[in-house]
Amino acid sequence: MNPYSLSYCREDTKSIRESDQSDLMSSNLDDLDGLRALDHQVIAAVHKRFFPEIFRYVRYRLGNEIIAEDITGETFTRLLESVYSGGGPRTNLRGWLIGTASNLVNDHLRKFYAHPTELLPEDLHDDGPSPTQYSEQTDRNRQINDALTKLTPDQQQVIALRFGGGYSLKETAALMKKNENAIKALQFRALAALRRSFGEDLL
Amino acid sequence: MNEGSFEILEQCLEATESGADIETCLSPFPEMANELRPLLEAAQIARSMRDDYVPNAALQRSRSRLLLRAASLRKQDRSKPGFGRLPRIAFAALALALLVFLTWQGLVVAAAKALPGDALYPFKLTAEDLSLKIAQDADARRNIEVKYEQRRVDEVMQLLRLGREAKVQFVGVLEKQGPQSWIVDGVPVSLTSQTQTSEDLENGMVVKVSGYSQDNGVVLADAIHLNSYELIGKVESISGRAWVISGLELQALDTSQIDPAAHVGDQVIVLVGVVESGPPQALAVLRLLQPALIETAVPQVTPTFEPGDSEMEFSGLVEEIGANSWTINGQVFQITGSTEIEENIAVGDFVSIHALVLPEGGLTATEISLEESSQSGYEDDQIEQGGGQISPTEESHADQGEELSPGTDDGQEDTGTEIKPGDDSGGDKHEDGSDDHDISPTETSSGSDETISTNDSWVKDYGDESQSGEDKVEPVEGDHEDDQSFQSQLGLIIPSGISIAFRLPYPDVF
Repeated sequence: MNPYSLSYCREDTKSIRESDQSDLMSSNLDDLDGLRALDHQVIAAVHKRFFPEIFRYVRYRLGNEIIAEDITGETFTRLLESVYSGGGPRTNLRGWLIGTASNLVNDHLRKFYAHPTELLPEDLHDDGPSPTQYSEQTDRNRQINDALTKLTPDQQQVIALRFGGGYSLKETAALMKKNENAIKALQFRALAALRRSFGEDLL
Repeated sequence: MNEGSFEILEQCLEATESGADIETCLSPFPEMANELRPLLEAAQIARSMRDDYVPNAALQRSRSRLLLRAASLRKQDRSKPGFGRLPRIAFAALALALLVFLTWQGLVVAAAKALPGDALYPFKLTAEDLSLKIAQDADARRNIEVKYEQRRVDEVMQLLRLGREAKVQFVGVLEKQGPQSWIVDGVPVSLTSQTQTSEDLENGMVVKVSGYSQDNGVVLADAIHLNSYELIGKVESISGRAWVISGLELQALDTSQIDPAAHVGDQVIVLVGVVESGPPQALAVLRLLQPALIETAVPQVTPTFEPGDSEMEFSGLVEEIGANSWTINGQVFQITGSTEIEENIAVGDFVSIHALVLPEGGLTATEISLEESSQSGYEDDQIEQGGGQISPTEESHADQGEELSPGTDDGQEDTGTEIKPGDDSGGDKHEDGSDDHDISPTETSSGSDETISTNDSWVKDYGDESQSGEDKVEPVEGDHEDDQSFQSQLGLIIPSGISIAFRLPYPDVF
């Protein structure tokens, strides 16, 4: 058994974001400079600060920890390469990461539905919680996730941010680069679609 | 569904997010309750899937991969400095420059075999000009020039073989002058009454030939002008770039190879470039009797005199006769009462000296006598000086082995002249009568890169002439029939092979 398999970062999402409010809308330019210079310390610090958020977002959208880890890792690699080659985020580092992760998730889902493959069951994953811990929730989560994936990408995104990530209306609008009224309408339609998709089994 | 519904839903979502009950949230909006309740229930289900736990191992794995990627980028950055951050326009410019370069290289390669008259021939010349301009130093430039000069000659030879008519221009050593047919660097050149030639052209001089290759295998010359020649003389003055050597005013160039050790009064060998207007150019100046040069090139010809050595025999030209000392080939010999001196020796005579090395240094002559073939003249003096030192007979025989083996001609041994460097092949050439080829620039330049070697061939040529026993130097045979001019107003015209001396990389030598 992997010694890390039962250890988790028990971080309170909300408390992190509250302490991080200042860079929700804007990036720390020093961080970008550090990334551009391939400064190991800056890279590690940025990764530590944003990995949990991005990982949770991707896992919520896909319901699979292994793929979530891969896609989150790819998101940070793309950040590094983009910034290094002169591109990448200009103002909103978190928004850039969420947007890139969202695109990667959409790509993954598109490929997955184009060529469906049987994913490894969660209970075979060493690093996750033990099969016993997950056994009761796994089927339900899979149903919810299946229902979620039937929504449009924007609807999935707004559900994942507001209910999976716990972001406020304002934060969600900023991350999705839309105004708040558009988010209100989007989440209304997304919840209606999700409700229809759930059917009666989940209620 | 309207904006009011969206707003009420948002209020209820915020309330339930904070822990409020769905029905409590909907109670103020009973008319909307049925519409919003399913949505709020769906929101609760969506929230139920929220999982804040993040596997620490996943974070660490991801961080390791990211840092590895950063290290990889950093490595690329080092191997291609600056490329990673160049804007795209810079890449475009680089790509364009590369394309131009490759196209140019392609043309250069294609033009490499072009001959005069071919469409690509101008590219060949332009590429050569460019390589000359980017030559690192004067020495490199001179080497390239020599290479290109030879290339011009090769092109002309090929044109003649092909029987093609084309306008040609080349530089080469004048090897033979007939009434209407000359040989320049092996190329037969035909002269007509219209051909312009410099005055006083002599075999051994480097000339520039302009004309047309003919289908009968000769070049019909429009003009043959003196291009460069070599002389040995004494530096009379140096004023900036203006040199006066044996009365001849010369102008040094940026690209000239000047021996930094050359000063007024030194005997030097000069490569003189002739230009249409202005004073002749000193393309290279090399000081003779340069100990460092001798030691570097052929150290074995520089004997070291140890006190207590037995009596030694020297030979050389008498330069000065004093009451207590004689100067012979630059070397001062003390004269004592016991010194046996043959009568009638005068300055300019070639003598044989027996001398003792003094413990405190210096040489004391014990016997001075005229050489049997002492009338070798000025040239032999130059030979000796070109060799740099008077060589003691014993040592040269004993120590120098094949390097300084006597020539194959019997007469040469008879002279007693001790500086007889040179390889046997040189002597053989004399014997077979191909004297003109003996000093052929091609042979010499390809076979020798060292000053001393050049002097060797020189010694071979003119040392042999001393066999004649006559006062004047006379050509042995063949193309030297016109070479009575060794003592021209400019000094000594040296066979072309001597030009090798100027190709020495001076920094290495001095």
